[in-house]
Amino acid sequence: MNKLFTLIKNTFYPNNEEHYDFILPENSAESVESTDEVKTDEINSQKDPESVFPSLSVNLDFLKVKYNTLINSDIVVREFTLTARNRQYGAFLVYIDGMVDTKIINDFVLEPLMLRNRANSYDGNETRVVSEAISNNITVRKVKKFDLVDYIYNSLVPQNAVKKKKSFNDILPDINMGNCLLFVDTIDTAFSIDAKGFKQRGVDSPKNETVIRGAQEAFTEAIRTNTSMIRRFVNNENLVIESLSVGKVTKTKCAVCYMKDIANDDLVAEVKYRLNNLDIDTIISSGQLEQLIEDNSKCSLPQMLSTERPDKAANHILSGRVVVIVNGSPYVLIMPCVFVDFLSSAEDPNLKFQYANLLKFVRLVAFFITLLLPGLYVAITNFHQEIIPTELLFAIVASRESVPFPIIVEILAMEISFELIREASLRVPSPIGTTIGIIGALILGQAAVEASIVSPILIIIIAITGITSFAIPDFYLSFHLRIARFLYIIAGFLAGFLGIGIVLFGHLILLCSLKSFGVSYLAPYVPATSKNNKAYFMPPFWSREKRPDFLNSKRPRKQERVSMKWKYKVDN
Amino acid sequence: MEIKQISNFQAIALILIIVTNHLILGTPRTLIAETGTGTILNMIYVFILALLLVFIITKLFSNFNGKDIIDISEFLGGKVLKVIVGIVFIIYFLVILSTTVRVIVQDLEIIYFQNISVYVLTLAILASIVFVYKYGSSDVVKCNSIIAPIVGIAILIIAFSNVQDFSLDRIFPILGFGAKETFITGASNIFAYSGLAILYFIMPMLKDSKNFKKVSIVSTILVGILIVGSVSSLVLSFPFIENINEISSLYVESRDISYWQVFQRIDGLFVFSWILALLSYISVVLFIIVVIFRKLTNAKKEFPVVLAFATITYVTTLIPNNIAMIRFLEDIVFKYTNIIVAIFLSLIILIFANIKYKIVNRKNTIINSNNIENKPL
Repeated sequence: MNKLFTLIKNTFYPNNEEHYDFILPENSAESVESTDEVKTDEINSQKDPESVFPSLSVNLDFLKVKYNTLINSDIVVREFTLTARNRQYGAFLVYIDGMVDTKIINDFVLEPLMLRNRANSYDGNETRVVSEAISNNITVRKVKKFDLVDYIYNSLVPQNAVKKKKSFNDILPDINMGNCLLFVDTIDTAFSIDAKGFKQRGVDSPKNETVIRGAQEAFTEAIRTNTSMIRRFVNNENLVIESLSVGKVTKTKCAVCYMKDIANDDLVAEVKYRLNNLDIDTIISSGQLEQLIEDNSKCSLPQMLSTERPDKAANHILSGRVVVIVNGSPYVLIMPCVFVDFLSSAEDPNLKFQYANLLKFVRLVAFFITLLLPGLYVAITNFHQEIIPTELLFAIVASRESVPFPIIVEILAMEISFELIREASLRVPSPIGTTIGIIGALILGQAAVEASIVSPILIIIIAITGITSFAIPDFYLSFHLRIARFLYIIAGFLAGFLGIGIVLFGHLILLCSLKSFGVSYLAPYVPATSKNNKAYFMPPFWSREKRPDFLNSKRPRKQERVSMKWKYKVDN
Repeated sequence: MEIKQISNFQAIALILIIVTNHLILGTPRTLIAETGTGTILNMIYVFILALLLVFIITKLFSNFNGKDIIDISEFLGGKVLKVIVGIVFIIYFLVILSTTVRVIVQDLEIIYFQNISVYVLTLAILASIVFVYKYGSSDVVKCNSIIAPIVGIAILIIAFSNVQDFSLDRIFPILGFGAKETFITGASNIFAYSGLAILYFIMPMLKDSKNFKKVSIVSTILVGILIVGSVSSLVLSFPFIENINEISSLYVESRDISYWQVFQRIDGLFVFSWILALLSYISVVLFIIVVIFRKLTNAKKEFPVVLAFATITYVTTLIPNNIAMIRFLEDIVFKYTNIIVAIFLSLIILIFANIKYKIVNRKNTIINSNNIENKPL
């Protein structure tokens, strides 16, 4: 009875309890526009004062507002009294907690500034005599007036990296990067003191580009660590590392690295032009930057190499290419790049040419198998059965006898399953990833065959395709092949070799149309450039005399015609 | 495509792709039907004739550096002749394109796609060409430089893979239907070198027009090797009566090839390269048509022109309604259009243009010398 009563009550008198239902309010069009304008203004700092004020309190108030110190917990403003030449000045330090080394600030910033010592306790009104001369009983003294800015800079901050800053546009990025900023009353200059002390990952061995004979260190997230690694490998004063920032909000530091005496000037200018003309708020990684500066952003083919190996980056710099490092990203970008670069491994230059060429040949085979094998299987089984030996054809037919689906359904289902397994094993913690691989590949495959959902020969095709796709050294090229493979499968199903031929023709045209920073993607083959030794297969190391000629580097030759002079004497 | 962009290799590839496509289709059959067992001898003879012809063409072009046949006809007969010659060449290329596409599509339908209409097959092929033209014609030329050598090598592989079936008896009687048929009427077999018609348009596109002679001679030699090689293989492999009855002799030859137990019949692979060659061929011929059309009309945009001519090609391809008509197009129209337009018309224009050039030059020399003589000392 009670239940019936409750039911009637709930039906006719619904519960008035409030439900929590948050909906993000939409802005009206006008307010969106006005907000955008304000944000852009804020981002561009047009409303911010340009220069540092002489009044300490004004600077302090401005920075407190700018950094929302009332709600921001990690912004530290340390006010104190600075002693200089026996005079006291109001001063404050501003820095971000966690980004600076507090020991450096205590010992080498605050202590010299706050403590009275012999050096700064004499009369501040004295002028310094620079030189003195007496002529006709008249003493001529050249004196230098006391300058607080110079005094602090030269005498009070025992730091190797201190910069004078007059504009807030320069000051704010410095604070954000982990510097400590010193403001002093009565002067319109601030001091940017390098006291960075944030925790960062140390140099580790490469995770994704492992080699046997090469260096075993990889780039990190810190831009300076990365530039130093490249410097160590290149070890030449002609290496130029230019810094610039990208992103209106993040102002991400990027470094453009090239050899001044090797890289083509137009190439360097083009790279800098593209980087300097990015109207974007944020850049977090080199992957994002890559998408913004590549020639054809709609194409899924990679147009720049990304590497975690400093030795590989150094090799490319020395061949006349440009490397871009993005702060916060352990992968650097190498440009320009041609198609064969994506099939080359970091190990190749370290190996004897016979071994390297064998591996390159294997990779080339892997490339074609990854791209075409499933499509060819569909085309052959549907249209061109005569091409394969009769016994094999019978085996295929027999294995498909109990499978109820057409080949296209079978192969697409297996391809999608394989992609799912791959994606799942990447996204879960590594110990489980292996388990997923085993379950997916072995148990599911076996079960699918036994349940007559797919034929065993198809499992072999998918497995071979999967394995060969892992042999492609470049991750992005592998992605492209995975996407293109589906097109070839559908084309093979629709029209056999005709369909595959049409898609392949379109693919070739796409490859021919691509350029990477002005270099044809299929160089040095299409267009055929003059004979050089930077084609796909490698000659012996001693005969790699020239740099790739499609780079039009300033020094086309990288070694003498006879490099092994200990063996072959050359008559001059 | 902007002029001064094509390298020597790309220029040679343009010529090769035209010839290889014709070789894949009915050209060997037409050649063998004309001269019988004397075809090998005839082909060597025609090769020498073609070399001579190309040598003459390069000589005739030497006074017109950086000009093509359209510019030369303008020099000869003003804008009227320029337009007439341009239209004739556009029609010529449309005829050979339509014929080739129709023959290939018909063959594909017979071999693989019995259930698919010729309309759909042709549309699929031409639509894919129009689609790739969005990237621009320079990429078509680049792509062709990859495909043409592959197809050329594939033809030679097919030609010599049946070497165990070659029988020298099949070339006898060596003069075929007789000396007259082999050397006099057989000279008309020079139509097999129709791809060399590209030479009339290629000079302004070459990166360095000084290489025109080199490109011409090298491409003629390569074309000669392909033609002589493939025709010789057919003559040596099959009785000539079998050759002239087949739809595509080289295809039939490829059906007999087997590599151990791995590939028992590689005609499927041959068809694969054949399709790539066809697509490249269509795009190259459309490229030449677009070049001529833009020269006549100063059309700025390329894609609409390609679209228009692809549509015309589609319509003209579907005109023949039976195999007999297609055979007629292939054997008679194709052959004689080639001889008339690609050889006679062009040669006549070039010869008359050279005569005019010499007359104009002589007049200029006389005027100049008179001016010098009349000058007061």
